[in-house]
Amino acid sequence: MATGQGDTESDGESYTRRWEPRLERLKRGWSRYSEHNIGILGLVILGIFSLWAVVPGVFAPHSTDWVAYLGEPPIESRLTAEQVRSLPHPPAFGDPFFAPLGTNANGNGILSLVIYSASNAMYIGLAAGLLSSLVGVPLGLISGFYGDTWIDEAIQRFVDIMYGLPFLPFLIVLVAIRGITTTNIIIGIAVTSWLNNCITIRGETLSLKERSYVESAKVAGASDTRIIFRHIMPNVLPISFVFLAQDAAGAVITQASLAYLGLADFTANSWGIMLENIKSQGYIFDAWWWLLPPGIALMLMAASFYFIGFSMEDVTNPQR
Amino acid sequence: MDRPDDREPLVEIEGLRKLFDQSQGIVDTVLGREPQPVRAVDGVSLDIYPGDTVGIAGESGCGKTTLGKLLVKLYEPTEGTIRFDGDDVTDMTREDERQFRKRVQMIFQDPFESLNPRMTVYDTVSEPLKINEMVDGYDERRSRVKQVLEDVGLGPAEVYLDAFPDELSGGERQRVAIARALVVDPDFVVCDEPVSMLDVSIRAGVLNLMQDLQDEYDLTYLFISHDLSLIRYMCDRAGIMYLGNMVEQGPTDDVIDDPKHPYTEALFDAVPDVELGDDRRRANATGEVPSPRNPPSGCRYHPRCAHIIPPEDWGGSQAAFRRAFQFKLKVQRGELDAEAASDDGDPVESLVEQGLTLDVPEEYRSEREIETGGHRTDAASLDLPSDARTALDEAAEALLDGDQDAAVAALDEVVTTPCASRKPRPLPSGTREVACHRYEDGDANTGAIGGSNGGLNAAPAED
Repeated sequence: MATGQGDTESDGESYTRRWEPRLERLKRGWSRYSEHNIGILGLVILGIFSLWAVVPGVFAPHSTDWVAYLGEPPIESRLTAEQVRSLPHPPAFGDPFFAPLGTNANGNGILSLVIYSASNAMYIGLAAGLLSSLVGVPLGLISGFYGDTWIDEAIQRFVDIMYGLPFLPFLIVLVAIRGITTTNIIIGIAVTSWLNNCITIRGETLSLKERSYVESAKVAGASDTRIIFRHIMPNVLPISFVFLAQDAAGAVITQASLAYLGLADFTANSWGIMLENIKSQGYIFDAWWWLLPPGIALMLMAASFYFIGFSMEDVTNPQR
Repeated sequence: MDRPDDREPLVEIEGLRKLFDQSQGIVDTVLGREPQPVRAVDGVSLDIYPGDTVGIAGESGCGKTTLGKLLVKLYEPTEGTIRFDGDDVTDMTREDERQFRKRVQMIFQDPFESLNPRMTVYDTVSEPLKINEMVDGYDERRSRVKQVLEDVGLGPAEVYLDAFPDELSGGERQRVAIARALVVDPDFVVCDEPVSMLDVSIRAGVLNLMQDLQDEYDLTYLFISHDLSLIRYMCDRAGIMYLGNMVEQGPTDDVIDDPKHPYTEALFDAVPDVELGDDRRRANATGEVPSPRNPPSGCRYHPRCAHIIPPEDWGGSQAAFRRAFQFKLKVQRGELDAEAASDDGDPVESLVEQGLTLDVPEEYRSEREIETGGHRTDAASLDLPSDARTALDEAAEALLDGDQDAAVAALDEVVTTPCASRKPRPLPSGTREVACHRYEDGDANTGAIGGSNGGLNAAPAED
């Protein structure tokens, strides 16, 4: 066949032409994504949370160390007994201080705490979701592609064993050994959540590898790696997006419940820890302004991951 | 097609065998059961010469697709050899295999399945080029793809390059699949039912295109199809497969105009005639295709054959023997038992008459069979020798006593056929090779069968 040696100039040219159709496809993808308002909504919510996570100072009225009546640190004076009795303070707009969502029992502004906690939730959600996808999807692909061989058997038996691992005791042991840090929580969540990923992707791969386009790629001489990643993986991406969203949402909620149980790093700002504090300090039925915001934020974050996953399924699925 | 002897075959298949499912569960192993693999291809030999178009026909499940996939190395043969251009394809180095992949391609049946829905036409067609590193540089690859797309009638190619398969019609998809096979400029293309999934209206277009491309690209085709008219239209040589065996092969015109193997005859009888007023002849074969897990002994076709050979000492007619043999088969399969005997009259007589019926289309049935809806036939009118008649009665009595083994034993002496005991080898007969016992002792009775007093039944079906 031809022996082409394009000089650098035409290389650059061909490069642009080569990428043009892909840009076109990206645009088409976006129009498909935006067909669903729910996807846009998810993206907007996630966008706001991301901004909160990156530049919380712009949105929060105070820092996390702000104390009602006394203001920002350095704090020289102390609260009077009467002031302490008024805490947690319901929402106040300038009189005697500005705290649109009120304060907690320590006098910290709820709105500021919620905004500063976003980074923690984002970190956990994305890290745990990506980690479990990065482990589960490739293992599922390999297990499915080599279905009914010792490779598949080994992976599936390992998954079975991991399924036997009880989540809470495992996490307690992990935290006891390695200390209460956010990283450990992420590891703990990822270790248990990649299993579903792996099994679903394996099933999907088992059916996809029988398609005749896989056979025709084999006839053309394609290697196993090429078949797995070029022909099968694009077809399992829709489900893996759904799982990514699900795992991310699950991780955020799990971290909150672990914080509630005292298994998460309590010095970090986290919606879950806020909820744990309100419980331990006994204000659940008295301070709605303290109870509701972290709960709603959690719900919105989980929902946004689901919404995005739902719309991404449409983008990556060419059937419609 | 005359074929000069000095031409070397491009593909030589020898004693090819492919068994599926040879592993067995632990329960079977413990119980000491023999594994019963599916004998998809069981001893096929075939030579394909360069420039030829060879057709493989047969009903679904006869192993023709498996044969095709063996030829492109999608499956490894269990036994036997395939030589491509002199090299054994089952034992190739990596480099040899790369060369082989460039020279052998396959077109699949279903264009809706054979194109990856996530890849554009350009990605799909250029993939073999990329894998085999045949063309350097994006621009040249693109122009090569464009050229092939225009060759397969997808022009102007620019329109199609960035299209996804779901934007194309069935015919366009199959053309893309053809382009993908041809882009590496192969020598040998296996076409597995290339038009069976397409609308009838566009089939001819695709087939003509494939014929034109054969000249242009200097191709050798292997056509796999259940559609005999397609084989007649496209192929120089034809092979007929039944249950993993090649029963007949030779020049297409000879095979179609004068089928020698009873199965070939049945297959062609099953094709509906287009001419109006012509009554459709249905094929004269009994029962269903047996399971390839447990194929019949000897000639695979003998339980269904209309021309089954009686033993040498058989005194009656061949037609009577065929019925007697069906009786034996029914006894063996346990289809005949005391409950089946009707209440009126002699139960033995009723059982015998029932066992002698043939499960064939109406035009081949006896009057009595048509009257009774295929449940009885008139034993007295058959030319059964007396010892056979005695054996049948004995067997029927044993059945009435519920002793199936005794019934089979009673028949074993009299109702035997060489077809069941020996496997026929493909032997040259005129211009072709036929695997049938009737042609083994020279061509003495060739003329007698050519007349075909009844076809056999084998509806060609979807594969």
